[in-house]
Amino acid sequence: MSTPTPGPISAPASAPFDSTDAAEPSAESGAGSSTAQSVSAAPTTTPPGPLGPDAVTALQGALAAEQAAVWAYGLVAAYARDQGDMISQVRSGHLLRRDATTARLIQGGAAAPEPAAAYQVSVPVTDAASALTLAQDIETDAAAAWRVVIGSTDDAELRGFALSGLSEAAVRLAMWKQTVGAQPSTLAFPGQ
Amino acid sequence: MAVLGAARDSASVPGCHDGPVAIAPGSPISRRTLFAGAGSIGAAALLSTITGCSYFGSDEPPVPTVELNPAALDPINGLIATTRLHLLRLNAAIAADAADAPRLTPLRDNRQEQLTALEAEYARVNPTDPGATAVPSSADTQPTGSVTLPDAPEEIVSAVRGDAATAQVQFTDALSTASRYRAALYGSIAASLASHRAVLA
Repeated sequence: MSTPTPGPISAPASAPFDSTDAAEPSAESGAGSSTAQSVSAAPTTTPPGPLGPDAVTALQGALAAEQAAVWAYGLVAAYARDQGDMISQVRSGHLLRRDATTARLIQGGAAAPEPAAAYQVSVPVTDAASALTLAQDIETDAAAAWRVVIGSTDDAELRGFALSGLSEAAVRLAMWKQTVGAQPSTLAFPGQ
Repeated sequence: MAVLGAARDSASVPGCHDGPVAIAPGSPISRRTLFAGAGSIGAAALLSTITGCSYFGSDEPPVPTVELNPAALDPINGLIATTRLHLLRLNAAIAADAADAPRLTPLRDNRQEQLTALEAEYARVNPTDPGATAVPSSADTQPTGSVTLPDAPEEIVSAVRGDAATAQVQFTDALSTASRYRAALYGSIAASLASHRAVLA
């Protein structure tokens, strides 16, 4: 698995957190994700509370995965130009989720680390095929990170929030697999 | 006067049983009444001996006639049952809709893996349940039976998609009260079902 790992960090690549972007990721986050969102949305009746240490560590891992996804989809877009619209939608979804995750960490009294300036990918991206392989790796990593969050907390609200991230990643992964004609396109246990 | 005098004479005839039955306070209890009361108490004591209930009450805790089986209360049972049913329907859909079989078969395989994992989790938590197997084989978990599906291929796919939506809601609902390990398992299955819906859309 080509896990994007933080490379040498120079300067923070992203702007400071903007609270106006801290909305829950919407149906725009990817093709097919609207169906997932409709039934997997986090319960929002209870305001988010303080985070336990396990949840903080897991949520920071999920934030790192989303930050890496935002960066890596820029690389994917440079090579898979035929999939420009889809990549744009997916990247927007990761942006929203990144910001929502940052907000959740701050609301929980935890630190939200800044993204790295660049990330190292295990597979060299040289053409559309390798770019779409990277896209699948991105979603695989995101799914794994969100699954860890679910298993790190007893808070139903946070579990629901993480489930949204996991479901979105699973749907996007299936979408990319279908795009490249990979079979099977779905997994029994995304994120495992 | 003659009529009144005749009536008074009739009431005072010895041995007549048409008189009032109430016993005046302070009057002696007849031998018949005494025997009847003693007989009632004896019958009640005999009945309490037979039924196990004390006539005068008891501090003994009641003995339940039905014992609860904790394994039957495991909420994972509902998820297993749903997954089994949907596997049956997927098998029927694949048999009935040859054109969509290549699309449905990987989804069926996913559900089979999920059923196996759910049953293994049930067996892990309920090791004393004779119905649970620690490592269920594929043959053990292969559902058998028949279900009815629509005739038209698009309706079959729609029915399978509806099953995925139903199951996704069920696994999502189960997430909030599950243990951490189970929550991760349920969440992963719910996410898989979301991808099934997307593939079938």
